[in-house]
Formats: sequence, structure tokens, C-alpha cells
Amino acid sequence: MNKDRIILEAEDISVNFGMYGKGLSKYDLTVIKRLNVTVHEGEILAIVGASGSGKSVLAHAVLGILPSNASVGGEIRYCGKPLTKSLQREKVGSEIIMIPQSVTYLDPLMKAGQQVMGLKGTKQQLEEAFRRYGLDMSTEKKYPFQLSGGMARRVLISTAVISDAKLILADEPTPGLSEDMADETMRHFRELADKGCGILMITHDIEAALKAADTIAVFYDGMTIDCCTAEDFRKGREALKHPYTRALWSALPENGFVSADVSALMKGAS
Amino acid sequence: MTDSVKHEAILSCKNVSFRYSSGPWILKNVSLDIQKGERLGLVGPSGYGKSTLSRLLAGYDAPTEGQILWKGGKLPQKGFCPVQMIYQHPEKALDPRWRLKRSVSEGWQPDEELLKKLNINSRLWFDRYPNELSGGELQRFCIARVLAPQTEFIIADEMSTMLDALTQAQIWNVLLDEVKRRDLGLLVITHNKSLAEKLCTRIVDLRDINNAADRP
Ligand SMILES: Nc1ncnc2c1ncn2[C@@H]1O[C@H](COP(=O)(O)OP(=O)(O)OP(=O)(O)O)[C@@H](O)[C@H]1O
Ligand SMILES: Nc1ncnc2c1ncn2[C@@H]1O[C@H](COP(=O)(O)OP(=O)(O)OP(=O)(O)O)[C@@H](O)[C@H]1O
Ligand SMILES: [Mg+2]
Ligand SMILES: [Mg+2]
Repeated sequence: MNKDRIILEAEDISVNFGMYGKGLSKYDLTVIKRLNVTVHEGEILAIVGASGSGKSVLAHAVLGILPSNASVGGEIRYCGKPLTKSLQREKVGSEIIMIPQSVTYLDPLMKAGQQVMGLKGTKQQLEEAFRRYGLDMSTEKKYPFQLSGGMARRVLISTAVISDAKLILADEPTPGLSEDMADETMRHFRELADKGCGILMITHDIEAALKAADTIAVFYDGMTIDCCTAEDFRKGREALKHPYTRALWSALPENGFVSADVSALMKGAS
Repeated sequence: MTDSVKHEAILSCKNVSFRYSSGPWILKNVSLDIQKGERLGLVGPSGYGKSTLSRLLAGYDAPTEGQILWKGGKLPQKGFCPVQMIYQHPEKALDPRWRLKRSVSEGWQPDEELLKKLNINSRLWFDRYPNELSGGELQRFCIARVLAPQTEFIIADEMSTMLDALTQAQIWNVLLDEVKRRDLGLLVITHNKSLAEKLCTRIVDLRDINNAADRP
């Protein structure tokens, strides 16, 4: 593994949605502006940040699954090559795997086991993953609507971890999972990264993220406003510089559950 | 309100058992009383039946055996249900083919003040379809939707797991204010122990009240 090798590089990214306003007037809604993100071989980059700040949209831009009214500016490179539509078609699903935020990405008509194995997975891999994530083997035969929230989430994780992906884009992998399960997921991510996989993990669960991530990027309103090492976050509030990042830390239920006037904070910061 | 009312259960299940068609029992002989004025936390492992129980309590599904009691009687079968649920997955709670303004007009029109407190941009959002909003935006919309004036009890099923810490704190503060001001009942389902301890006056582990045999 070469830790200096860049797997994913998104440079100066912007994303606009063409929208219709009153009386069919058209306007552009900018949701990401001048964003830069880099993931190296063996690196776990955690992206945290405000709801609606463009985290999922960024992941969807990399995967090429934004709706047709979206336009993407800037350049996304995968292993040094521009990630064009045709390269996306070639790599997404095999080398580039997503764990989606919405459980509606599960195919409602396909049993969980089939979805997890995908095209290349083996029964043995499936059993290993299910054991690791505490899923009973009977889950294999269940359709998505028969899964509980946390089971659906663990099925989605299993799908990604048994593929031999080079890049995993995990959009909220752990909500609704117990602390043990979230920890197990983080341990697994770390193992995959240590074997050379690059992982971009979008998460609200800072506590879990800190157990695995190398770097933490903080998003707000379509921009990266702060980037720090997981180490800084672990040290606590005093080690954090940006006021939004500090407020985020203090808002964790275990750190005080303090809500703050974010727009005022941001005004103060700029 | 008199003291005697204070100690009465407003929502309860009596010897409730449930299974999906002919599958294994998910819930067996579950009894639980939720008192007026308490904020109950319900915890338990994934796949154990927490969401199933909350759907029974909100009247979406009927128990296979046993009874759900709302103020000692039956939940109203028609019209607005006083027990409202905030789902674990907001994307499954809304009709994907409806713009938000249609979903909102089904229930009530939330006032600007509430929308503001929840950081909901009605002007920008209401013309959109659910898949044109972020996960957290959609969940905040669902929270506004259940806070109708007729609502008397709220079941929040893992409602804040997809919110960032700041939004989570803000949303819960708004919801707790409403609950206290309007004297609403509240059942909180969560995996987050710190969160349950912050929010609830009592915490019940479903494992302690469920007699279904071979659970995960
Ligand atoms: N198809 C779309 N059309 C218009 N606006 C959209 C569309 N999809 C997303 N948006 C907007 O883009 C912004 C970023 O959305 P995104 O889903 O990336 O947020 P997020 O950071 O993932 O938030 P969350 O943490 O709540 O999931 C949001 O304000 C959302 O309303
Ligand atoms: N529609 C259904 N048909 C068949 N079985 C179902 C259905 N819905 C849920 N189940 C099963 O019922 C059990 C309990 O599910 P439930 O969703 O109530 O769990 P939960 O405690 O909410 O879990 P989580 O914390 O993961 O959300 C699970 O084993 C699940 O597979
Ligand atoms: Mg998102
Ligand atoms: Mg559930």
C-alpha cells in the first residue's frame, strides 16, 4: 500500500440544481461551491457537518447518480484519471461502492442475501459478513420490507464490505445501530483501509467516526469550513479551532447537548 | 388537571402479542403503561420489535392478541389520530410522488414560527419532491407535520439518528418545549444511551417486558 497515492480527488467542485420557481421561471440552486476533497490509499476521511450542507450530493456526484437537472463543475479524479461518465460506468458497483443514506436504495423485489452477494460475492463471504454484523442467517431470505431499520442498515454495510472495493463512499453507515455494532463497523472499515481501501465516510456519529477516521472534514453550506485530524477532536473542545466545529462538539448529548445559533456563529467566523 | 388524572396511564398495551402473518412471535404478552406527563424511553437490540410495538401503539397495525388502550378506551378509528409517529426512515414516511406541500396539506399547515424553529425553508422546499431534500431536511419536515394541534402523543422512533449533533440538539429542544408546553405524551426509541438519559423520565428495555422466546 502506498499512503501517498491518491484514490479520490475532487477539486473545486460545485453543484447546481436547475429549479422552477413561481410561474415557471427558472433559477439555479447552488448547493456545493468550490469544494475540495482528497482520499488517499488506506485513508478514512470522515465528513461531518450540518444537515443539508451537501454531503450526500457530493457522494452522488462522485457516483454519477445526480438527477438530470444537476450540473457539476470542477474535476473529480479517480486514481489519477478524470472520472468521466464512462469511467463511472466501469468502476461504480465494482471498485467504487456506496453505502447509501436512504434504505430505499435496497431493491424491494430482491432478497437480502442476493443483494449482499451481488455479482461476485460468495456464500461464504455472506455468512462471514452476517456473523460479523449479528444478522441471523434467516435474514438472507428476507425482502427489504421485512427488515427492521437496523437490519436494513447492516445489510447495506455487508454489501459494501464483501465487495473488494478500492473506494467506499459510506453515506451515514451507522444510524440506528447499537454502539457495539457501530464500533464493529468502524473496526471493519479500519481493516479495509489498512489493506489499501480508501474510505469516504459521511457521518453524524462523531463518536463512532473518531474511532476509525484519520481526518475529519467539516461541511457547512456547501463548503469545507474546517479540516482537522481525528486526534484534535479526541482531545476535546479546546483543541478545535473553528467555532462551528466547537459548537458541534458541545452539542453531542455526552458533551452537554447545547444547541447554538449557527448562523450567528458563522457570521462571527467569517 | 387533578392529581388522580396525573397518575393514570394515557397509552398502554395489555398482554399484547404480535407476529407478521404466520412468522415467529415478535412480541409476546407485552404489557406497558405510559403515564401522563412522563417521557418514556424504549431501548432494546436491533430487530427486537421496537418499531413493531410503536406501530401498534399508534394504531397502524392491530395486535394479534391483546389490546392497545388510549385513555382507557380504543384509539379513534377514523379521522386524525391523537398518537402520531415520527419514523426511523423519513423517506419511507412520505409519498415519493407528492410534493411536500401536498403532504403537508393532508394534516395541518404548520405556522411560520414553528417552521423557523425547525429551520424549515417553506418557500424553497414545499414545491419539491421528497427525494429533492436531504435526509435531515426531510426528517425536520416530518417533525413539523406531526406537531398538529390535535396531536396528544408523539412516538419518536430513532428520529434524530440522521441529524448532525447541532441539529439534533436543536430539534430535540424544540420538541421538548412543545411537549412540555402542550403537555403531550412522548415515547422515545433510541440506541443512544446518553440521548435517552438526557430526554426521558423513565427508560424501559423491551427485553424486560417481552416474553417472545427466540429473539435475536
Ligand atoms: N434534487 C434536488 N433538487 C434540489 N435541491 C436538492 C436536490 N437534492 C438535494 N438538494 C438540496 O441540496 C442540499 C444538500 O443536500 P444533501 O442531501 O447533500 O445534504 P446532506 O449534507 O447530505 O444533509 P443530511 O445530513 O441532512 O443528509 C440540500 O439543501 C437539499 O435540499
Ligand atoms: N413487514 C414485516 N414482515 C415480516 N417481518 C417483519 C416485518 N417488519 C419487521 N419484521 C421483523 O420483525 C422483527 C422486529 O422488527 P422491528 O422493526 O420492530 O425491530 P426494531 O426493534 O425496531 O429494530 P431496529 O432497532 O433495527 O429498528 C425483525 O426480526 C424483522 O425482521
Ligand atoms: Mg445526506
Ligand atoms: Mg426500528
